[in-house]
Amino acid sequence: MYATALVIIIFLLDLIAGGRLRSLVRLGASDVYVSLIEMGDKVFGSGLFSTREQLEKENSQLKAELVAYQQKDTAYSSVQDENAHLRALVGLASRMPGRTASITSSLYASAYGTFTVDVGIEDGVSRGSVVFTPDGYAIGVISETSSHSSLVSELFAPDVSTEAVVGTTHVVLEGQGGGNARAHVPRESSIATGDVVRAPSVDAPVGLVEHVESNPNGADKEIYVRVPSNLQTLMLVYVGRK
Amino acid sequence: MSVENSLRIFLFCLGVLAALFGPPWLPLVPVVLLAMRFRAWEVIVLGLFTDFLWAPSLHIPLFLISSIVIVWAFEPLRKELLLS
Repeated sequence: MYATALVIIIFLLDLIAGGRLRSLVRLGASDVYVSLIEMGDKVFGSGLFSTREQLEKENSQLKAELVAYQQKDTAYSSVQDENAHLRALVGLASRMPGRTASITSSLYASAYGTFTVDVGIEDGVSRGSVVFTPDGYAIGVISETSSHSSLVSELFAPDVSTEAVVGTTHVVLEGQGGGNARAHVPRESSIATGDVVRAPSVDAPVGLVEHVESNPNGADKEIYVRVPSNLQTLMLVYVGRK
Repeated sequence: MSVENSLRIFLFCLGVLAALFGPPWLPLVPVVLLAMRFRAWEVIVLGLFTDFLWAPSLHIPLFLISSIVIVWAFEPLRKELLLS
């Protein structure tokens, strides 16, 4: 009973303090998340968990060499990925003012369709700033900020509706999570796979039409929209200035 | 440290990691296990932690509410039927 009361008091204090307590929790959790991910990369990249049969076949010298090469390869691939992301972000930065940010949390763990990035008020980010993938697709909006971290609410979070335009057709996208959304459109509309979907609220493209499903007996058809970037491998995003 | 306390700490840590890395339903597994076996205040802390981590301030704290419901709903059940 006391624990319940105490936790409720902490929750209310956070509300009164404008979310400062949860900002601290997020900051700590981001550090833990990033550290564990880096540790995991090092451990699994070292070949320590290769199959036993493979390891038995190798002599000790080859093993050492292999591990060294794997480490180099992992580091190289990681730098290459980062480089590709950064190159794309440079293009985006030349078109609009903003700031590159690292994602410091899982993109799939939140039931609220949120994730955190490592930029905050002191980096010029404010509530409502739009978050883009390196390809220039808007994926979310900053919903909470602290000094050096922010919470991003995904546009395609489950149960979130976003008004959008495909060609000349206005649609209401219903978020499905994981960078996917769907919408109902009139049957006579000429929407096709690959069409770009733009959201006026963020003044940017939010995805591509992945699939169009029409029911011959229905008055409308269903379109499935997807962010073209692979969100699972996304490490860097671009936060536009409001 | 007793086995029970170790189990409680283990499940709590599992819940924290699940909240950080797993899909949204995963923290509920250690939460339910803890609530079934113990009168576990950690469950409510886990609920608060998960909401602090992911929920915007003005959003309804679903995990906190769920954890409180689970702790108090399981209380009579645990007394009558379950493992303690």
